[in-house]
Amino acid sequence: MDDMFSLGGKTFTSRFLLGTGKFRNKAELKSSIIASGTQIVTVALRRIDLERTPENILEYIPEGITLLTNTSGARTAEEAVRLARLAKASGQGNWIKIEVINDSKYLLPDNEATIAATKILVAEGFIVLPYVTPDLYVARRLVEAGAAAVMPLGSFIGSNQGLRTKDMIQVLIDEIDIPIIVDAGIGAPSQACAAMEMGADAVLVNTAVAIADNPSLIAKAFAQAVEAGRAGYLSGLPMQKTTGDASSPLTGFLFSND
Amino acid sequence: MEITVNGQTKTFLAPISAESLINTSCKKPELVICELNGAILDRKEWVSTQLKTHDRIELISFVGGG
Repeated sequence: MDDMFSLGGKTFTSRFLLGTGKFRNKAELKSSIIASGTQIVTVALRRIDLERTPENILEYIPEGITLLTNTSGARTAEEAVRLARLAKASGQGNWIKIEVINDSKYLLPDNEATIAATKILVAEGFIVLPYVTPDLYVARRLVEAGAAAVMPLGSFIGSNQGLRTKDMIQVLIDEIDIPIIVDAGIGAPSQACAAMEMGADAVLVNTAVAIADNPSLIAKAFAQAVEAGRAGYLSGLPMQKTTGDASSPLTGFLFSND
Repeated sequence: MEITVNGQTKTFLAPISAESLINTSCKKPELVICELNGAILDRKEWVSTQLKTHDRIELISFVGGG
């Protein structure tokens, strides 16, 4: 059975999105992209350093991969909109991950500003993927605003703490009809697997891959974990019980007297 | 003529187009997105855009990000 992932009018076979920040070098980035089989990667926009030759991150991203530009650095809806327009002007497509953050300690997203930016950018024809703290009402407003997906955080960006917001993400999975992509805080393949088993549509990981001793190996492990979790979800996971339930037959024992 | 490029003030003695400024400011202009006074300046308009004193130019490109 083909299990395609539909997002923003495209279909993908991979449900693992990879961020491209924090890699020690571009060779490790490229090998991680290839090893993971990811079909969507995130990038950011920054001022060029006029004193140095800029390295073009795009040169390390293989052909055919969908670029999802984030609005990192934006502190307001207006700044996010400005960054999105710049990304579009580059000719690299119109997929935008809205990230509005003005808290430097926890890096938590400003949900209200994110909704505002989503409305504006959807109206301008962008494929909008908003990064938010998981909240049912926020997610519903994002659906109304025309978002292509909701990207709830699992835990603080770069914290590798995993699914601290698990129950709230489950609410979104159960109640929201557009794709739910768990983003931020996923620090181990087992955590990505757990998100997929819950019914998330995809997972985005950056830090855990970029800073691992062997990025391409963990990138592959993440992709496999996402596949395993997805298969587990599709299989219809059995109910949990609070008592034991034997797996072997309860008849024909060697040691019974009858 | 003073022009602010990525927050740094630069002085130019002769008139200069956006294209010339971008070509002299950065080593890989083909990767650059340009904003002039807060509005995106389409690549096609770089050559015909003459800069004025106190113009603010932002030169932006893609970097790694999550």
